[in-house]
Amino acid sequence: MVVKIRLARFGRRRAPFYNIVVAQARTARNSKPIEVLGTYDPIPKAPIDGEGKRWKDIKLDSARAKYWLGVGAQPSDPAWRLLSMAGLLEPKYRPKA
Amino acid sequence: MARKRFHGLKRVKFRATWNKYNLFNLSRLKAPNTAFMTYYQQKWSAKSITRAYHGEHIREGQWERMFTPLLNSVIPMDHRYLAENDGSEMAAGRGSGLEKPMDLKKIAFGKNQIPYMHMTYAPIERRLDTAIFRALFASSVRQARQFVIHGQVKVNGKKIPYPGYLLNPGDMFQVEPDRVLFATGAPKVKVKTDAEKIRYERRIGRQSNITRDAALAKRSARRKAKEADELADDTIEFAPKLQKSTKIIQGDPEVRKLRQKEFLKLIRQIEDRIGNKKVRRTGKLKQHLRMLLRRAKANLIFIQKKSVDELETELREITQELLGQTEEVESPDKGPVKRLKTESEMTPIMKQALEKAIARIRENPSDSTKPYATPWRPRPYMSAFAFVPRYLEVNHKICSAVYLRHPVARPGLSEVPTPFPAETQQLAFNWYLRRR
Amino acid sequence: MPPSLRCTSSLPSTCAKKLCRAGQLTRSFSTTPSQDQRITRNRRQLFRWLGSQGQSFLNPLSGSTNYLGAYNAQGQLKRVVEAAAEAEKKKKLKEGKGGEAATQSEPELGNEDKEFKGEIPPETTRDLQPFPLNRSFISQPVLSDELREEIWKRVLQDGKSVREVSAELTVEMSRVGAVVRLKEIEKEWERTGRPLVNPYHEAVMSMLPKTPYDPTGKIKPKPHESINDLPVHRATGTQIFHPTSESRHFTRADAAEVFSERLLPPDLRVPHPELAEMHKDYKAGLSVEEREERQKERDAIADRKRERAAKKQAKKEAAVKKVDTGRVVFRFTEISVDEAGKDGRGFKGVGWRYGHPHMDRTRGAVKIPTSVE
Repeated sequence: MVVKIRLARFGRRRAPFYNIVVAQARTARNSKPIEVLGTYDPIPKAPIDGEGKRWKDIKLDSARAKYWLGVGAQPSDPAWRLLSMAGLLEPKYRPKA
Repeated sequence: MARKRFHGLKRVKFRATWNKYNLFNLSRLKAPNTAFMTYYQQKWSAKSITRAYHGEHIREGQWERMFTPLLNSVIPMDHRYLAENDGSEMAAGRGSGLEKPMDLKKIAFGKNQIPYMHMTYAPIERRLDTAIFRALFASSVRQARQFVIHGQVKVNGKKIPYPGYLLNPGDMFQVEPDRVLFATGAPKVKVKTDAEKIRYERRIGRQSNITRDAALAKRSARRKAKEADELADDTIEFAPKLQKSTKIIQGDPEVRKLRQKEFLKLIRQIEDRIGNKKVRRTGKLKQHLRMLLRRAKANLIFIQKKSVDELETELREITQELLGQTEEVESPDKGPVKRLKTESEMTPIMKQALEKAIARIRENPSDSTKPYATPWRPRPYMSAFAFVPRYLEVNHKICSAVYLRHPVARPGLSEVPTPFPAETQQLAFNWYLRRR
Repeated sequence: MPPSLRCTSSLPSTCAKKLCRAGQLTRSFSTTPSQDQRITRNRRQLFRWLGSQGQSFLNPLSGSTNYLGAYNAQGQLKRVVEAAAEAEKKKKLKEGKGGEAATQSEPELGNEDKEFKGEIPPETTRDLQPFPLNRSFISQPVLSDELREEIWKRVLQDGKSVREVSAELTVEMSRVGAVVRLKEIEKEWERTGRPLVNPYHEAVMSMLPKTPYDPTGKIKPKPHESINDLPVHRATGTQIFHPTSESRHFTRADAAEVFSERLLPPDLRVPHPELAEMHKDYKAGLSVEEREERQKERDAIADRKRERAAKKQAKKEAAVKKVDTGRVVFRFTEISVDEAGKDGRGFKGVGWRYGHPHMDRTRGAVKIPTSVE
């Protein structure tokens, strides 16, 4: 069976919050995963001083993520995007120049 | 069952409002006569009258959950005392004859005691609605609560629709200034005879005319700009002039909007004055008023075309003339209508005074669309209730306040505003201790 | 629905009188007695009071506060009555003295009379009680406009620390911060042309007692409030019997330790411990230069402490990896999977937990935020 790195949606209606998880591909989305690698909060927060860009918060254990990638875990597309931003993977979709 | 009177006169219950009935009730408020009551009855009556003032709109269970027997207090320390003594002088000499017998006369009983019992309802002061009332932004706690629910209140810049939000030290809350003016201003007197109704409808019609005029003007301005654009494509000579005009149109839409609002206000003011038949005016004055109205309307039409400076001077001039007129109308006994002095004839002091008066009128204009009496003035009986407790720092100019800390008691003083004596408060405190 | 009847001359006079006073129209053909309009003794008393004693509260008293505690039962200002009585007493005393001092005392007497008649005497604590039954609550002065402006100026233009300004003007540190914050917003409104609510501000300030401030510096500033408040700690609430030798030098610090091992002595718990230190130096007879030197040392220590905290914060910030995608910035914070513990429910673990129902799913639960920002 394939082990995947994917996002599990938690939070509430209109207030998504994701766990970045390592799970068997065939298990239910929010079932207990093999491991929780981190979290992803997709709701942008305004900077406290009111200046600068809005930011999104990601917590990630990059060492464990590297390990799981090393043993062949398959990231889903959104997970790929985040992991590539963290510098663990080559970006899949390059923005058009 | 009919709802009981909120400000009943029969059984005196003092409420957290600025009502005149309430003021009367405060003047006759007495501590309940406990001579013939059991202890339970004493506590019950104390709880009953104190709760009518403190968080009357909060359910009893909710308040019981908020209640805490831990009461905050502070002792003011003198830094000189701290520097000169290390506290050992309090311990020295016990038993060795250094201790002096207590002089009962010298001890000021009550004055240096910390009024802990007045802190019974301190947790309620933390609520957002109560804090708004204490900051003098609303005339009652219930009104403050309504402001919060209606989304007129921000905490740290964020809209908080929960009246029960417990403020943390350092939280800043802001109330929409118009709501504050409504809450604290004198009420608008509504007298509508048939004639007035007709007049009102007429005014409505006139206003719709104005908006229609403005819309027409906008459309024509747009058309003209378009034509100019086409012209610019053909000829190069017009280019610099055109650039200037487009720049004006684009420049400072915010400022323009503000000016537009002021012009609308001014028009309304002039119309009110024309509509006011109580004051007798000469034909000339009436003509003058109508002229001013026309001028203001014309400015409104060209609001997008004229430069900001031009608008500003127009606004000033019209206000000035209007002001000059009031002086003459209100003092008819001064003889024949005097000619207005032009700006060049005035002394600097006069100019300054005029400037001030104009500023005041622009700050506090009469405006029939507002839900309170205009020009704004404080509501009756407000001064008897006007105080700001020390745990708040309020800036009334911007209708904002900061909750500095939780209220505390200190020797002789308590920061929780409460109309009841210490005995009543103590009985109420004992009620909520749950050991009854 | 029948057409509403109006009070016309054809109706009996009772209608015109009674109903119009009540301020609303009722059906004149109704046979049920209307409870609302019954003029009870209490209502009569109310209107009598509003017309007599209550008249003083209708409008604010110019140049003074206007609280219920300042008036006697007859609706007269207590301090005015007292001043009048005092003047009367003095007058009588002087008349009793006889002719010898008459020529001297005349001008003085005239002065006093003027003083009393022209202006209301200043308020005492008693006159600042909004609630006559509660002596422990008084309307305490608020900062005057000049004082607020001065605080803002000293903090933002002169670059003084909040602590310094607080000690100089005897205004609590939290209040200094709040004043600056509010003043900044006020200036922002002025810059953007948003109208300030000046009429309301002026009206309210005229009703409140104020701590004055003279920007020219001729009048010495009055202390606004006590700035060295020691919060009463819960641990000190218990009575402790602590036997110790009579010869022992038992200080505040020892007492604090007896109350609780973790309780600091009051010298460290007050908001302005540096004031006591400065006074100690002064008492030790140090010269001005020496005192300044020592103050500088203390400031340097405080600066170092602040720097260390700032460095720590900067280090924490630097550990966060930021990726700018154009619209938003993604902030990657490094965590450790192991912190979740064996059962995945560790205190420090991140992420939504498995096997824990959320309380916000319970019916009727309103989640009021406990803090903003």
